[in-house]
Amino acid sequence: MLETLELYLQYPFVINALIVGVLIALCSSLLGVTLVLKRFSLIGDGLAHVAFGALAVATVLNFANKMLLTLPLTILCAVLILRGGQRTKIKGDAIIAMISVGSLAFGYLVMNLFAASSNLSGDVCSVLFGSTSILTLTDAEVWLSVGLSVLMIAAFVLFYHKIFAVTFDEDFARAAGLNVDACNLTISVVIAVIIVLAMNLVGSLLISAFIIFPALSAMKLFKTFRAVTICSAALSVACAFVGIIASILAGTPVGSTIVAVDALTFGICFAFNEFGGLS
Amino acid sequence: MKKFFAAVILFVAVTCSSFARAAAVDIDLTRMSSTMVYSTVFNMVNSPATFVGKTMRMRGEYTTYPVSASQTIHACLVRDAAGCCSQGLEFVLSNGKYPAGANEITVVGTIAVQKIDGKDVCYLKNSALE
Amino acid sequence: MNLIACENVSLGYGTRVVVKDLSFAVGAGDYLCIIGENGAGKSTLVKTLLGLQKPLGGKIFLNGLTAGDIGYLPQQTQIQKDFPASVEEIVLSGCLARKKFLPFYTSEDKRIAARNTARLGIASLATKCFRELSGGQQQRVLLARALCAAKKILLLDEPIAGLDPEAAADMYKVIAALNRDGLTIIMISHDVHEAIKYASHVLHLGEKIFFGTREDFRNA
Repeated sequence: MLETLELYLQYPFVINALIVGVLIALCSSLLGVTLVLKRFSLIGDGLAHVAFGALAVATVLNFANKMLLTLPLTILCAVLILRGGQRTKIKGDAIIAMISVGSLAFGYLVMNLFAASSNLSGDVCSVLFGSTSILTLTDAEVWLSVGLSVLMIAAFVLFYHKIFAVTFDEDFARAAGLNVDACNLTISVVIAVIIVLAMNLVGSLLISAFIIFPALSAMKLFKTFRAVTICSAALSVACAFVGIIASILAGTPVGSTIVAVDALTFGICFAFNEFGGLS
Repeated sequence: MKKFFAAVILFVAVTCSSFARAAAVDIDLTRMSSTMVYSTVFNMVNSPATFVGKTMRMRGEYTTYPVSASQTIHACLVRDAAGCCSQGLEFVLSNGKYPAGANEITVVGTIAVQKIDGKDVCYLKNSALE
Repeated sequence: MNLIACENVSLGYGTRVVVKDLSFAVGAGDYLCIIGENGAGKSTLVKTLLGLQKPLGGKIFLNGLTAGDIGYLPQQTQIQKDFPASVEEIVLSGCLARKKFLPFYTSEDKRIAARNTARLGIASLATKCFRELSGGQQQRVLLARALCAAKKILLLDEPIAGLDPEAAADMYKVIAALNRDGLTIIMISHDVHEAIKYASHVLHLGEKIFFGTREDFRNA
């Protein structure tokens, strides 16, 4: 098995997949903690479906680089939904369901009506489930993904304390003079960018699991915000790495393999918390 | 660097060990998982530059596309792990004897590029069926 | 010297007016207790004083006070009860009021946080997780955080809500001690009798608005 792996690692697209995959896992897990604690997990799912709809339109319009349309549209939706923070009016699950499933239906309809390629269900399947998208990135997509991931990680590090304050207690943060609206805006934009990037790795339907599992696992193990954030990042990176390697060795779809590893890790952390117990 | 050489040596050893059975090729898709097979062919078709000149063995479905009355494209089709995406690679047999109605084929050839309508299209030249 | 003065202020949300024609002043070192029925506008008043909401009418004078001078102890939210954060991290977040664009806390910030933690007697809990503390301990942590942001005034929104009588009495003593140290206190409370024991001034919101010293309120 090791020889096969060494053989695979000679291909640049495999190395690219590992690098981009790890970076995406890193930045998504950092924001995942905030998303879970602010009770916005469902919104992350809704945004992923909006991104699918945008991607469908971009495919039909034959964009060379589909992210040019997907990124701005997803960011716009994220800003509209998340900007209000705790005061956001569109938090009701009915409205998220409307936006989320509506975009999915719209996207699929658009792709059917204006089929640009002969293999429609294949394209849809790979965008929804990310079976091999990470292994078939163009050079431009690789550089864009790496650049954006690094930018998102830097933003998180710089805004870490503000993100903590805004997540823990918005009212206090506002009273303390923090520009909470600007913070929420930044967080929304970052979440949107990360979701569009993560679509390449795990596909639109699996993104919420991918973002949330590492955060939940970390919360079972640690009790301070910093420890939870670092643990979430470490677990997400490890699971993404293992998932990609496992899928290319075993011949399974990449996206589902990564999320399966994430889920397994959560199961282990949960069991450890319940029966082993860190004090 | 050491890892690279170790990989090369291992690779050569592995392929040499099956020398009696088949000729050594640079890229042997028959030994790879379906995920890797699909990704490799996809990358090859979309950016052939790094693959041109290498020999390859692949196993997949045999399909034909009649382009005109006199010309037919013969291709080997591979699918990804979920089975919903497929990618085909054209091959040109050196002896010209294409199988009729075969389902699964194994073909060995050299990767090459030809220009069709201004685009670089990848195909396997000087190929043979196994 | 009045730190805060309100003249004919109206408070509410949108078109709904909750309080009309309110006038009062808070001097340095005062201990003002705001009491009234549910929905009388107590929290609305505090949020308006903090700048979280705009008044519907009238004028509010903040005599040179900035966000860095005012500490706030809001009511606890559901999110906080399950939040994975240590006491240290929470108290330190109060120092955000002092920062502008710097992304990291300075050693000065950490010193202030440590001092306030010790001041409230929770230094031994510094590394503990917030959600594992008792109600009274949690309120002390949030009070320490508010102190990090408060140089002159502390606004407290029902600080004893959900506390058992012993913890509530403790909390009152702590707040009174802070007032004796020179911090101006504005506190919303449901518990009229206990609160008035310590307050210097009382503001009653409701059908009839009353503002005056504790003695005046007792006699009214």
